[in-house]
Amino acid sequence: MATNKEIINMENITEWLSSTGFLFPSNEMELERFNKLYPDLENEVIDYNIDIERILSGNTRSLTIKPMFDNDDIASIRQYKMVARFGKSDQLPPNIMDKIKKNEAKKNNDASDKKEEN
Amino acid sequence: MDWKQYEHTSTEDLLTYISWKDQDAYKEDAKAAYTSLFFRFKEDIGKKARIVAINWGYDKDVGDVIAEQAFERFWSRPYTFEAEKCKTSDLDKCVLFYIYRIAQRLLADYKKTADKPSPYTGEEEVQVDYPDLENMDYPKEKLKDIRKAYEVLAGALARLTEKHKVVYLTYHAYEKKGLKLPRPLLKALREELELTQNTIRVYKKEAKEEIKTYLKLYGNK
Repeated sequence: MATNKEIINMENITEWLSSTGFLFPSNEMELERFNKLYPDLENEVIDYNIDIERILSGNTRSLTIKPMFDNDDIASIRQYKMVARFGKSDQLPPNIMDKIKKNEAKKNNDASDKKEEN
Repeated sequence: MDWKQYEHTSTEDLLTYISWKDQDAYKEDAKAAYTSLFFRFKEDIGKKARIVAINWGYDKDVGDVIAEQAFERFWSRPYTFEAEKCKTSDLDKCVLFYIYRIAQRLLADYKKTADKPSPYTGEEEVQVDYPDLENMDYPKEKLKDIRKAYEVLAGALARLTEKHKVVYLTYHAYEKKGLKLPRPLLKALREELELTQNTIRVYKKEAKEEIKTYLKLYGNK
């Protein structure tokens, strides 16, 4: 029985992604596998919305893509994001800045207390 | 001019007529020739674009738009296709690989085109590796093995979050050994996914590890 041990590994995974429809094929081997996996069915008529007039006139349809996450999702994710994204400290809200300063001061005090103890 | 006049013209001749598109006297011939080329490859490109789009988690209409835009790109800059670099006598396949590559790039950076024009449209040349078809020596797998490979990959990718999947597939769509992704693409990825470059790197690594683990667990059965 054929095992996948010989088939997919981390070295040839791009080639297999291109053979199985996750990427477009880039050479004849990948093309042959791709076509074998997705054969043209007999009497298969697919109504593609691809128009030569739009192509020739440069007015092809643009992608009106549904966002991968809708706005509610983004909002719910955003609240967990770190406030210091991209390292732009000037964008931090004042209450967060105060908290950071307070913590820093506390740390410094603790450190100096320890020093004195020694 | 009726494109049917060129219906049975060889692909090589069609490409020659198409290359005259900017000469006023031949403009209509070029259009008719391109229309013939379009109908020759429409089914193949259309079908593959739908399959890949759906495997990326989009719908079939995204596939149609990608296919249409890929044909438009070829028509807008037909000179960038250089038949003499094909290294094969099968010119049809060489044209197909060229359009696949354009479609792949469009899909990988399509996200930003939703809000603004793609920085890739127009000026830059699409870099294509022309496959060396004559020197290819490869095993011919059975359908059941290919199907199994698909199932393993589909299973592995299904374990990733949508963001991890897009990062992982985009890297594979672009990345060549030892080369980094184009800067505008990285920027687009960051903006689209609202991630920093470091996070994207981490996502890529996490996705890779996940796939590796999955292949170890399920790929050897």
